[in-house]
Amino acid sequence: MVLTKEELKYKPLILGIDTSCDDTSVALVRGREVLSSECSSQTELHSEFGGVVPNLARRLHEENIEEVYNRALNNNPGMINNVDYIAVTQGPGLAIDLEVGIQYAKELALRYNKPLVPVNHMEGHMYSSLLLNSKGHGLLSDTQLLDSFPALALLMSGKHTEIVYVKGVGKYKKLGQTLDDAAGEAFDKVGRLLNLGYPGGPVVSEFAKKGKRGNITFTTPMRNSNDLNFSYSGLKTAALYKAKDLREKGIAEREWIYDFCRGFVDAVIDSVAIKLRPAIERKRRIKSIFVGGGVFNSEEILRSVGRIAKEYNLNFYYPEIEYRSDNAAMIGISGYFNVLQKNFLVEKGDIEILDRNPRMSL
Amino acid sequence: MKRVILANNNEDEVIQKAVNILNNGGLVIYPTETCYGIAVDATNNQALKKLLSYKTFRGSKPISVAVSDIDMAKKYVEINEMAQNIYKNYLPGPITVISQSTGALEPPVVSKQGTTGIRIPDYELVLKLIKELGKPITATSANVSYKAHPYSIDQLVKDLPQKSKKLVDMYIDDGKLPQNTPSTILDTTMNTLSVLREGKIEFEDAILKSTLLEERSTDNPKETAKFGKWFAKEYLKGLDGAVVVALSGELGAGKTQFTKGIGKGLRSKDIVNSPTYTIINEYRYGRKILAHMDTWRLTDEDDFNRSGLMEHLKEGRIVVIEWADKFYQEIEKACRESNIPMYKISFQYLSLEKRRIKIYGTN
Repeated sequence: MVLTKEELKYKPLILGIDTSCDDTSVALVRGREVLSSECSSQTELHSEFGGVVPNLARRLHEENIEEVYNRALNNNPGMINNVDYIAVTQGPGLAIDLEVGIQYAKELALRYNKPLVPVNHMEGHMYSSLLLNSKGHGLLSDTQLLDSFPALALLMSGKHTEIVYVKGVGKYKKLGQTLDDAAGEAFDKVGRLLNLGYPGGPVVSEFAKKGKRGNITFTTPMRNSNDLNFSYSGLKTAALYKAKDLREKGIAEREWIYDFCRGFVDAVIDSVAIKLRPAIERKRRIKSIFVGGGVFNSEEILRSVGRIAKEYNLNFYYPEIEYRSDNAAMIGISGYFNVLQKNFLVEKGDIEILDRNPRMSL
Repeated sequence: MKRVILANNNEDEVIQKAVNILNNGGLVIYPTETCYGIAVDATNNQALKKLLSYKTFRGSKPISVAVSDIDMAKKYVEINEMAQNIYKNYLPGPITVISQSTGALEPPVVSKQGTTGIRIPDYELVLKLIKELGKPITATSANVSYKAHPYSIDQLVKDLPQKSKKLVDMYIDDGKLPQNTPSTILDTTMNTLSVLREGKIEFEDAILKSTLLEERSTDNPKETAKFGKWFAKEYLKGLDGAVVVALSGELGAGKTQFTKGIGKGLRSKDIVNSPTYTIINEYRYGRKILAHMDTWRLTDEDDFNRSGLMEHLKEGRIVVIEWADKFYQEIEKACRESNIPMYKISFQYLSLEKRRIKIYGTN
């Protein structure tokens, strides 16, 4: 649909809920503005330990959700009465996890008589770059937003790696995706085979900064595939073999590990470039590139995409660091765009039968 | 004078003075290879409290500790295989290794999850100091919350509130430090190696007692997928009721490729990709659903039980499980109790691209 400036003046208060991943997240947004964004691991973030990603032990959505919800409402339970819509992730994700969020959202919707907005988690990542802070500041104004379509969205996380053509709000076509491992997964698995702990991805990015380019190189995956799909399982295997080889040669790990990580990150950066460029050339009329997903926590990868956007004279929109990994603020904003398209459930019967969709896709 | 300029003093005397202060619960500012840090005796609760009021607001964030060597570390944390490797390869150095605490330390040097971050600074003076003290010291940067990491005592003192300044008993001044970034954090607590090893033995044991149905060497990932397709057509097609296909093999051994083939063999149009992060992927074929599971990120039985595997089996679906050896006991039990047939498939590396794949039936 084509949004109008008039429609964007409507800024409802939306409660977003996401339980599709390891974290339980709840957020409150007004239109595109984030009023609060909470997740189960937040209080326990090892900041001294450098922003360690939550592990599975925290994947206890049933136990977490009430507390995270209360925090998102600033411990003011009456606040729910002011909320206009409840948005919840319907998929993709693990069925049993999605179920918890959907159940909770349904109960809220029915008890407080609020419409329910089912949201695609990947659409959330796509719009995470359009979020504004509580003062209404962000990368683009409503006027600029209206002028940002059509666009390409590049979504890269532990679970997903895909390029999506965004003709307008709600009109998507997936141009390419990973055929095996996602980019974030490849990062973590390479971290693991280097014995750098789990999740090793952030460590691999960190170590790459200390490495020298060109000393150890990997072949860029899918260079000759003639489509816009990605594949990282071959790169992972090549990395495994190279590490084995270096170890067998008896060279101390700290001698080669930084160059190794450098080579790996460069291959990933290149794998993105060789797909993004033809995608842009195929969709000549696009005006912007949106990125989203935890892989962009790597500033290096983010900047590499930014440079390509600049090369083609495109707007480049990326989320603030706190909205790159999974969060519920992005479910809120995606809910907002769905509300503008009148995609929500009001009738009790419709709300009751809403079911999770673990294999939901854009 | 609280400020001791290292270059103008005898190092041993400086260390002795610092050790005395730390033993009496005092605060010492010290240089490291990253930035100036603040030390208290990490085993002294009173001193830790003092440190927290020095740092002003920090919420409930845990504080890392510095030790002199791996032997000292072992008294306070459990060093698993992965941690051992990191200590051996990277320490001393600008890396903090997170491990499970043994219980000898308390918050704030232990996190809510019962873990502690340990550092061995690559700084002779500090290592000597800790050795002399015989106990770990705190390894947090000396700035108060929301201020920049200090690389010189002058910069630090300029940023310090009066209240914090009063708490400091000694500044060991080694001049202007190079502006190195803070230490990198390596979390070793999710060490799946040990779980895997136990499961692997069980899995291999089970294989020995099972019938070898098929064996094939494949030259590349495509052939591995083809073999998966063949297997699906030969063994899974037209089946009614639940079946478990348990896959076992190293990272990159071809488990996902093989499953891709199974999807093709069942005529699913969905893209079969790695379920490592989702835990279970679902693909449609005809009117049925193929479930594709990965236990790589699951740490214990609770995690496993929460995955939703049982629900898929109750629905009578084919479930392919990657890293099945990790939870072989649990999977075997589920199959035995519900009378569900299981195929066990092992993947072995022959070379970069070549694999040997063996398919086994029920015991």
